[in-house]
Amino acid sequence: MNTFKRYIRIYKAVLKINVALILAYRANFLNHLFSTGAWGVFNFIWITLLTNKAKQAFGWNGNELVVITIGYIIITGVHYSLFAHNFENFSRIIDRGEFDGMLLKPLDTQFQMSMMRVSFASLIRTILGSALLVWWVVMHQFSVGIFQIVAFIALMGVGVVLMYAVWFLFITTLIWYPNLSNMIELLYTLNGFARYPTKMLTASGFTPLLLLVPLALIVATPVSVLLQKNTWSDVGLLVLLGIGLFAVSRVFWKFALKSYTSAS
Amino acid sequence: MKWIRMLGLYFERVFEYRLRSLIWLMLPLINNFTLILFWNGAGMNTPAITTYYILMTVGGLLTTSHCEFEVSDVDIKQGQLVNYLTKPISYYWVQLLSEVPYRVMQAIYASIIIGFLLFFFPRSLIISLNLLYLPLVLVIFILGYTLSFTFKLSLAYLSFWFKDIHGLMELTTIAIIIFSGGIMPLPWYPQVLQTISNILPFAYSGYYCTVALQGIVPLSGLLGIIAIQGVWLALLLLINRMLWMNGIKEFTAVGQ
Repeated sequence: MNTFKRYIRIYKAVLKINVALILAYRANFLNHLFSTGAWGVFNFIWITLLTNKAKQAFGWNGNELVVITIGYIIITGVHYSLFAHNFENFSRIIDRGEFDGMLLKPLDTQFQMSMMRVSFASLIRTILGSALLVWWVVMHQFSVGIFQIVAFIALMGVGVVLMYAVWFLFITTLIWYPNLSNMIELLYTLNGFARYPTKMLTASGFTPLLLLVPLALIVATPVSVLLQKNTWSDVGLLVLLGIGLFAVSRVFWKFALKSYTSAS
Repeated sequence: MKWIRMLGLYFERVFEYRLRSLIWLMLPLINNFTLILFWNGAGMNTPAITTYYILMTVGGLLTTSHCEFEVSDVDIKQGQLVNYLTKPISYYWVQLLSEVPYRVMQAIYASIIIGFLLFFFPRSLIISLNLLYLPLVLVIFILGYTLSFTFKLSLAYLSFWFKDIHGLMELTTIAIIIFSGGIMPLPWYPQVLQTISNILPFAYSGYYCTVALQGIVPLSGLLGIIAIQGVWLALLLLINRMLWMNGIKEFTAVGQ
């Protein structure tokens, strides 16, 4: 419990430092705010164009497919704010041996690699997505009760944990291949699978795609609960994968650390 | 001779990082593959659509330049440009040349993809290109790439005046995806977006290269594409030259 409190205290300090960074580099913050907001809007335009042509897909009608994309905008906002930007420097830190300094600190290395940078600008996506969600649900008169809203928020939280775990599993391989600086771009691209219904992967008949099912569950599951599409098996799977893959990512990281050779 | 030497060095660099190059290839491949799956689920997938997205991937790999980040961040912001200014070589040509090995590497990967698909899924690809038109398609691809390169280089030159143009670059990337037919074939877009796409240069290094290779454009259409690409290229080269001439006056680099 004391360790947990200590990390909370440290994370508060991290947040303060990141706020100070915004104040020091205001133009950079505004630039990032603008670009990340633009990508959020782009995702909405993307699905609007697709559903303008395709009225339904995988048992979801056009308006429901838009809700999945809005959910994706919300969840990526949280993930990009808290974790994703930390992973962008991962390759450089390992490749140049800067990780040595982290190993010497009395702090968990996974915590240091995952949580030291907070991108407040990315939260614009979450704000934008939440506003879009309310507007879309009201405009299309979806029947949504308080239980669905609470379950949706809770499952989105699990989704963030799962997304983090999947990303961290991939990024850990950089310990062995630090030159793959574009691995992060691959993750941003793979994340795109979360914009579509899970069935898109399961019904494809292409077995390797089943490996990406965790990503497809991240948004589609909370949204299916919100819209009362009753997929409780998916809910169970999402929670199980969230907890399971987080634990696996932790074990895998500890294992990978043994192979770290510094810059020599 | 100096150009061949330089080209050799760039080839060395690209082939040294083959795995990284493979990841760059996977990005558009994954994006377009998800769209094929989507249309499949919507019951609207046809061999023509599959072919479109596969050729969009191939076309994107061959015609989309990515020079802007290095020019903006490394050369202009970090001052590496001085290395080129003191040499008797054109910066435009050096940059254009440095991207050629990437295109060759991507072309090799692209050929493997198409070969694999044609071998295992012969009915999923429909390319009805008349081989007599192949030289014209080649010209369209070369112009498409030069168009993309000149546009991205001009964009990067804005770093001479602005501290950070990443926001603008991201916005441009979004515009390129939308208006080059990256989401779906242009005729599927609403009329207003189709009109804008036909006016802007992006479709001429994306969508039109793809449909030309697909073989669904008649001879007059191919010549029309080349004419518009020529007009856009002339205009962009002019802008590029103006930006360079004025931007270089803003450039400063210091050292001990």
